[in-house]
Amino acid sequence: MTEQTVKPITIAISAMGGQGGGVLSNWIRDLAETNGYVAQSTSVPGVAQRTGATIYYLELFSQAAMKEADQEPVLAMTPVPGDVDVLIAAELVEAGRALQRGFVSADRTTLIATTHRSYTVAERQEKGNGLVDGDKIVQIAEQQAKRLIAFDMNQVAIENGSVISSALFGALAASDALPFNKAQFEAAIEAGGVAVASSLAAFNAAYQKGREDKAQEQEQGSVSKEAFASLPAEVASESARELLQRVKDEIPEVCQGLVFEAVKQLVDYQDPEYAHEYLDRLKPFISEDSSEQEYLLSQEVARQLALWMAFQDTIRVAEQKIRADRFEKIRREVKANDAQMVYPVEFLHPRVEEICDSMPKALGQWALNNNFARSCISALFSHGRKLQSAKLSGFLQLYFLASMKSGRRKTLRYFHENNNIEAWLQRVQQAASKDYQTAFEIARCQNLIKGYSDTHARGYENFNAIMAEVDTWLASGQGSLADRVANLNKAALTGEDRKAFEAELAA
Amino acid sequence: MAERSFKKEVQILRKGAGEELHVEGILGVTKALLQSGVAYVGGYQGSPISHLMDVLNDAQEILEELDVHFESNASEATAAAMLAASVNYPLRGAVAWKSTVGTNVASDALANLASGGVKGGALIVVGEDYGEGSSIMQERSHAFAMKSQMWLLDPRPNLTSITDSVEWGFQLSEASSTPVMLELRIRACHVHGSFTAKDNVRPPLTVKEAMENPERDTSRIVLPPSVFLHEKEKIEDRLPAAIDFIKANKLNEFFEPRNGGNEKLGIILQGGLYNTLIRALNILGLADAFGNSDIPLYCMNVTYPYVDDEIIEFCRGKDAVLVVEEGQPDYIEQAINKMLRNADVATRLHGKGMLPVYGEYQGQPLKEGVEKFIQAEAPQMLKAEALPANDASIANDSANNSDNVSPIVQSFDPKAAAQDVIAKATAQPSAKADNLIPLTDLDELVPPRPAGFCVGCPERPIFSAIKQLQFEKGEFHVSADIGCHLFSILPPFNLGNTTMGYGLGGAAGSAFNVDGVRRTINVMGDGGFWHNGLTSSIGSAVFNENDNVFLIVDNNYSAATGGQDILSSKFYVDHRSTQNPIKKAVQGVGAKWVRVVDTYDVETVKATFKEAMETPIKGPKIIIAQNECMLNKQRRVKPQVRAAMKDGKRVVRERFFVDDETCTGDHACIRLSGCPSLTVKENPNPLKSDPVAYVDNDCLGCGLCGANAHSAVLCPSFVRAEVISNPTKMDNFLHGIRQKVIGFLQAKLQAKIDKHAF
Repeated sequence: MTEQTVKPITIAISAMGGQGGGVLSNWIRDLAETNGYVAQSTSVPGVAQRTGATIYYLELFSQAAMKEADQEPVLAMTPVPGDVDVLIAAELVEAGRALQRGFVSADRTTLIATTHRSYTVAERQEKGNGLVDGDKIVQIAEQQAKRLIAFDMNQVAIENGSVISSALFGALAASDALPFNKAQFEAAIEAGGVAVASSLAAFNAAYQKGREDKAQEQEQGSVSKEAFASLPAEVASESARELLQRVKDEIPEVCQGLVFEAVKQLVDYQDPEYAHEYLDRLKPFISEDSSEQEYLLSQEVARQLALWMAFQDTIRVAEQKIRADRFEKIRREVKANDAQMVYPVEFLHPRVEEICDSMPKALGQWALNNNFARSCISALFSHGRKLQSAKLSGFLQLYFLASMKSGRRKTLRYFHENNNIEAWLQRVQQAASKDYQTAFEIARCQNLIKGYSDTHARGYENFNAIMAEVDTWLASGQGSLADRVANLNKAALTGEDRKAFEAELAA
Repeated sequence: MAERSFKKEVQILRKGAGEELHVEGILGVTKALLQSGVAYVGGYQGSPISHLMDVLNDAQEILEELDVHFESNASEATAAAMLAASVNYPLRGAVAWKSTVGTNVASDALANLASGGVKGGALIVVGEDYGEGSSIMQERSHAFAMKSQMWLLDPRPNLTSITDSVEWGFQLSEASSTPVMLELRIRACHVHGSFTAKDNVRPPLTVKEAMENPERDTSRIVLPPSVFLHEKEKIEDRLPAAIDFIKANKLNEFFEPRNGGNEKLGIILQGGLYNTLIRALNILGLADAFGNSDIPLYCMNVTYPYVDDEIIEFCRGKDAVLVVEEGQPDYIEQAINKMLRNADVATRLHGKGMLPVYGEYQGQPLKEGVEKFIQAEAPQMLKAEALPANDASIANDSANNSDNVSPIVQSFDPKAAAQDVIAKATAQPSAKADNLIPLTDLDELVPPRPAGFCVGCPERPIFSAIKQLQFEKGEFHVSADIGCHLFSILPPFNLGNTTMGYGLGGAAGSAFNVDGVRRTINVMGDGGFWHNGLTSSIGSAVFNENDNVFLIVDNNYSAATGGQDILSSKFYVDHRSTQNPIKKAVQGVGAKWVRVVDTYDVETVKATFKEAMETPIKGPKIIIAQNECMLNKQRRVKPQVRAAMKDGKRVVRERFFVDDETCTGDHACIRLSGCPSLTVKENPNPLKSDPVAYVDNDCLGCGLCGANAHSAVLCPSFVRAEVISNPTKMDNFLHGIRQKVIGFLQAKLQAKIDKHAF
């Protein structure tokens, strides 16, 4: 053997603390040590590892080469950029981090990366969509690695009742990057002696998947939207048929999927009449929009209007909670088997405002403004409630609330929302005649009204502040207000308090 | 009960001479202690040394068989002071801790110990928490060795060298009457390798025997006039004795160059960096995988004291020598410069001028540093084929400057280095795509992932409550402490202004003992509390009538260091006194306003903080927030639940669920939690683009989501699902009735929907 060929095999595992990277490195070590190699592994445990990004590192060295040289190898403690043979990433962003640190090189590194995401706090805490584009990481990995095996190994592990380390080990075996055969890999799992059956199942499934498409297999690593389904030829009821016909007749093709989805949701939310009202409201926007503009404004209005018209009131929440398919969904989600019972406990905290909102308009207004009534309701609802929705009393309470649906149009909440919707639509329409882009941005602002209680109130506050500027502009403004509205919208969704928004407002 | 059990591994400690042991560095050190006839051991947990304490704890039985006494010391100061047993008696003693923080705490006792000197070997195993993964300030233990005149070992990071160094560490200590520090870097502590065992040795003198036959020597006590004598001894007796021992036993290693190597150059390095340096040389084509190098090496397995003769001898006749010394200041390089100057040796000395001045010496910075050194001194040694293509330009650059290598401060930017490597790699023909996405795009795609609270951590709800109270009261000054609770400084909580040391959260807030609009919050964990916080923080606050709020996080264990037991641990522990409540301790030092709250009860925690902020009662307001560390609880409870399930007993498992239709995707819940299992997923409603909250299957059902939904009035989408296994007859009976009624009403609802079905 020449000097150049006598080298250790270097393996880095890029993972998060608590993911079982230790188990995986133990397997690899055992695998090597029982099959003619010496192995060294290192890690950085401790508090620094609690759920955070971390690197395990292994080096394997041929015993035959040792014997020939009659010397012990000197094995390194940390990976060196450009000197890594196998990089195993136990999460997609951690694969990105390894790429960033130079541990993946085109002339040398086999990259085994799961495509599943475990979102960071930074991504999750955003008010809107803060998720990074995982597909792009896979693309970069494809370009940078000598070989890439990428698929959702976490899913494979879950499907086989195991954890990701077994699936990663399977993908490693499939890669042929190490001088060991499949049986030797399996023996290492068996020697480990912990959860052998499920580990082997996940190992084998991942091995198969790794073999099937060795080159690469890209899967969704990020949240992305599906396109809307095209219109059905036939629907099940007469009222639905009328609505379908209207969508076909009145809505340009490019918007049909979206509008039909909205119509379905609004029928579910209230009734066919409500959906007709929606289509009526949409009409003027469609007629003034054009295919040159790709009906962008109409689409945005169609989307935002539907969401606003389906505002979440107590009636809606109650209705969602008692549906049969929802109970099924919970059972599935918590992985209950047939022999197990599942009882949901709902955490509800209606405040005076929500209670009064659900009353008929006049009564609700009186109760909100009457100190005595207000304090009575407040006393009743000062604490959060835990409602057992699958037990009789809890279910019946929600059932009663849901049955108030037919009276929704008389509630105080409906009155408020409806007025606001009308005012907003009017602004969008007026703006459209001045500046198309501004109208689009105004339409988009509905996205600020979300959440409950304080979050909701703050959202409305920001929305109103923007609408005040819009009104001034509509009355006497020049040019376009689109950038201004867009910036304010963005600032309203930035940070936890209103600081960013207030700064933008003052700008 | 520590997070990790070594009950199985400790059996390795019984192995005898000749057996090859495959173990982690820490376990190797423990075995080496027993092989050295150690009489007593102790220390304080903290990464990377926690496992040493855990191993010793789990090895209690084996230690007893050998008459070795093991003490779980209250702090590093306690541990260092315990070495006093080696002052009068020929007892070998060893203690361990995380450095430099532990050495800081221990330095009072260490200085006293080093002054009087020792009769029995005293070994301090310091886990150097420096560089990647470190959770503490970046400093060197080296300074402590120099200031107190203790010897510092820094062996090569393979198990044979590490375990050998334990043995000759004791010998060196005894030969020079000086305590010896054995420095192990973080990855060396956890390196998994092999070494050949020796038989365990019973201490020739046991602690018991020493205690029963007291001896004293007033000249060893740190009190004038002995103290002046001690200083004289240090310089005139102990230092020369140490140097003689090191030379005689060849503790430092000279590695001759392989055939064809360059005798005119040399590298002086700390032993702990040997493996990384060899890899750097290997990549540059200057050494093979077995460490046979073209450049002579002087490997300092003892980094203090310096053996001047050896160093001068190594440098003499060489054109240039590179000093590879991690961290700053560059004590060794400075000392060698002085040695060479005094000895009138003209060899050029390089060091921090070519290597990063600060930061961990991983492979890449060492490779670059050595490359610069060779470029400057013997560029012909760099074989073209060993270098990536683009390095040629660097070679030319530095070759031109070989006479005067710039002494400017160097630092290492790992990211830039990585980009550089990748740029070189992708410039090669093997790079695949024409339209390469620039790697800088990753900056946007790779968000930071710092360590944080675990799933279901009982400390998280406390900070949810404080954050909610802040919405009401305005921002607080929060004095944080060492421990898992320090994660409060990160998003989403963003709570915490400073951290001054273990158990010093209260002390660090003591300047704010004045009247103000809002009181400050001073945090401490139970670990820090028993380490020294009871006196440093609480005692001091009571004495000074501090009017602020003091939070003590009581999770039953020293959780951050790996879940070791402490005085207030809730469960019975063999060999230790536990179940001593923190409440009694603070009342014992005179605290009047003391509340104990359940951390998961967010509303009560919030209300208690509010009361503490507002109460007119003077003196510290102490809130003890209790609940068990989830990692430990899981370890404790899981087997019980599994057994109950197997036995057919009724078991209720709880976990949370988010109604994805009800969730509006504003993520307010996440901003009050940050729990890894409270994550997000695609919005099921195609009209909405924001991801909705989602509870994954790691959820332990701790209850925080529900508590937050209530106390912060979040949204009605949170559900706690109670999954009943092995339901009873009564369960089945009631379930049947409920299903009937509910099923009937649901069918009615469905009929209404079907009327307008699509």
